[in-house]
Amino acid sequence: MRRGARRGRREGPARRRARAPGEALNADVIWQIAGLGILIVVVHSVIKTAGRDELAWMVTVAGVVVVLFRVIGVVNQLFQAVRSVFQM
Amino acid sequence: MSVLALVAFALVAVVCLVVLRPLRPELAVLLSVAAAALIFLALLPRIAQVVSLVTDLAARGGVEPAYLAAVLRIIGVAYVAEFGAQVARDAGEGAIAAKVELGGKVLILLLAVPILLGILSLVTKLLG
Repeated sequence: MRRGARRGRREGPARRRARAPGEALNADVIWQIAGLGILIVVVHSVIKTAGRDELAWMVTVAGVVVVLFRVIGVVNQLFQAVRSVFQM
Repeated sequence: MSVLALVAFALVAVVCLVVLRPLRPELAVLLSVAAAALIFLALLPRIAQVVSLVTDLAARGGVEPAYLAAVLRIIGVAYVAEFGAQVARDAGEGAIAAKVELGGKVLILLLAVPILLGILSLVTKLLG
């Protein structure tokens, strides 16, 4: 279980590097966020059914934070690009 | 990037948003931010082409480069402020959106001060 978690973590940056900040419009981030959202909803409802409301809430917050970091990366890219185009 | 890619991307984002909005509104906000940022990011190379065209025209017309830089900066501020305000309004925070727009206007006014001073000095030179 622990090894699996570590491998999952190692996969993250590699995949992020593979998604080059190119000029093409790719929907990877959209799919990721939507999938993560649905996953969070399912996990939340399962844990809530098990009667651990506070744990379900924690799962939701963790998911939101993960997605937030992903989106912050995209917005940072956007701001850098705007700054370089308009010489700000 | 063609207009077809843009519309396809927007359709994907809209479908995901419609699915996600009733389940997790906070994630839907983040998803819409990501979609808007990605579309803007994909449009920026084209905007850069337009900017280089305008720079070329200004150089041919003998416009002072400082004024052109100010105008470009103003356009950038307007784009970014509009982006922020739309995100805030999309999340249902109209007050924050209005403040962001106000801040954008103030900053644009400040950036336009050198141009205003240039016009003023030109007018005084013409009159006196």
